[in-house]
Amino acid sequence: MKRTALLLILIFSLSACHEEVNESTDSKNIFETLWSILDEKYCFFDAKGVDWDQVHDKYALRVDTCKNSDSLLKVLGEMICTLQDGHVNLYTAHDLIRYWKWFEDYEPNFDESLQRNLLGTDYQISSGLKYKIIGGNIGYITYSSFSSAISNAGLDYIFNYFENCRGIIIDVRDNSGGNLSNVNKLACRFTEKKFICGYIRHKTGPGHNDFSEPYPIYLEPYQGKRYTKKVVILTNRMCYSATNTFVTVMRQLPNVIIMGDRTGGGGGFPISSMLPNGWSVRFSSCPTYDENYKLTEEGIEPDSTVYLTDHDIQRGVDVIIETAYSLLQKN
Amino acid sequence: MLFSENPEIKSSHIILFVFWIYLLQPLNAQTGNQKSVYWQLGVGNTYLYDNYLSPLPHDGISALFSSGSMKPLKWGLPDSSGTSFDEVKWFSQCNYSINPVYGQSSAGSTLLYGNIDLRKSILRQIVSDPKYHISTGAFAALSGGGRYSIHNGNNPGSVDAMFDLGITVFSDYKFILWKRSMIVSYQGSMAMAGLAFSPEYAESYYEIFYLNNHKNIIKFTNPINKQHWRQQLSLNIPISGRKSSFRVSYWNEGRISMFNNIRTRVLSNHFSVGYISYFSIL
Repeated sequence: MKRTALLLILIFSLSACHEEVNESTDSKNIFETLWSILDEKYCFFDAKGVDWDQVHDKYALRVDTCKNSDSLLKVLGEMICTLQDGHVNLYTAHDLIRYWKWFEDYEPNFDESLQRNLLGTDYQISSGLKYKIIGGNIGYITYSSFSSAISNAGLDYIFNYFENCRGIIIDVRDNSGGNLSNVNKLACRFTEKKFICGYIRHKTGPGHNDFSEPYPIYLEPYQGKRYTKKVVILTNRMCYSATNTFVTVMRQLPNVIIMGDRTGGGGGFPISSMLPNGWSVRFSSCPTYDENYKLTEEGIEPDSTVYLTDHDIQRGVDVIIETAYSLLQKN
Repeated sequence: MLFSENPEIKSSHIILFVFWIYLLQPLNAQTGNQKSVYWQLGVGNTYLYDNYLSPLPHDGISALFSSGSMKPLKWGLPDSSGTSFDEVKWFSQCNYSINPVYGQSSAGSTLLYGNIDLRKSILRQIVSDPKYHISTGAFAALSGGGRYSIHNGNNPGSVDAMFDLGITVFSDYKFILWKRSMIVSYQGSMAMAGLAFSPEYAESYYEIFYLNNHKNIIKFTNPINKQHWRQQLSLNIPISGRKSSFRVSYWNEGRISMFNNIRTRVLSNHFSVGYISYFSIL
């Protein structure tokens, strides 16, 4: 009976245990919570050479002077921007704090009106993909967001439609990412064999260097309609996150050429969390690597660098598309 | 053949049918024994914490639906016909429970939680008296569920899946009140060992389920890294002779885990009402 009583006491005492969490909405606690979340789960401190403790000391002093939530948001925004990571965001009801210098500091190398001129009005649309056969029997596909679903049935139709083309241009300029499963769904149409296209790691603990072993990511050929002729992928600095992954994978294929500007990067798989005042934070948590185990966070260099200048835009010529077109015509 | 001819029968129907058979099993398994079957529905409060999704605790209203049965086991009895709980040493219990929760944090974020638990217990009476019994035994439980954070864009959910082996204590006491024979009973259970699913500290479900990295996601559990208990205090009030009773219960359940630096807590308290039927199938 004594043992039973002791067991019951243990059970009741456990039921009274709650996690000790400081839910205060004062500026200091919000700052400390945000700093701690990133300290324990952000994945690029060492890769980017950021001394996060030093950042804490610098901004903690400024938080003490914050009089309202706007001034606090400004300080926290500046703090997270020291990470120089487009996947680090602070969401409030009235604003999105972001680091967008990965494309704001560079030429766009894309003009939507030139793309509209090329597509005209007789292009076809399959979910998020717009496509048509442009002059010279070259296929052209533009995909503006990997968040837009693509279907295998749609891809089957598109690659049957392009079957007799000399080559395809896939324009992912200004595509800032989306769903990684769409990356795989599209990329697997261009390979004939399974291969390691990159690696991923994840944090295994709160230490800055607590990482798992790299896990290989494979690309397997689609068991159906595939396209193995020449393909040119058009890129610019706005190619970010899932699009950066797409370019990382596609550039490894022998029949693919990457053309345009360097991609913006965004090679950290992001996760979200929440602060005691209801603001949400998103940040990179799992670093991804290319096939040579090199981080993709800083972007991918094209095989062929081509810039679209203001003069080209005034002439009404998208030289990146023109260069890709010429390359495929020589094929 | 039957399935192929009838397109209306899908795999989900087969699963529901198997589940229904599982529920009916205690009623038909051992004829000649006294059995009790109960259903109960409760409301209460549940505290949720999962630092994989949020550093903030959530709590809120929750519901509980539970059903199960209890029957004597024939072990060691030369003639089992007509056996009842007063006459046997061993008996078994089957139970399932469903617990949906709508939790909110002090910051206004919403966390939805749901859990299904199936368990089978075998107990032995260690104290037997015309007025009271005390029994102890062991149980095996299979449970699954998950949390969904409405505010997390990239990692909105986390999954619970576990198999537990544990100990359980059951006692009841009969007394007369207002000329009615009532029973107050208590059951407490605690998991001692088992298996549980857990991602690593900041591992994404994309990596586990899409890239198929299953390394280190199944953990052996013990009372140090996982505490899972359940206790129920009930009053059974007969409503039609000795064939059925009305039940009011207090139900307390807790699941605390610490795997891969991920801390989770689900602590719930429910008050429920229910119905018990006593069967004697010959």
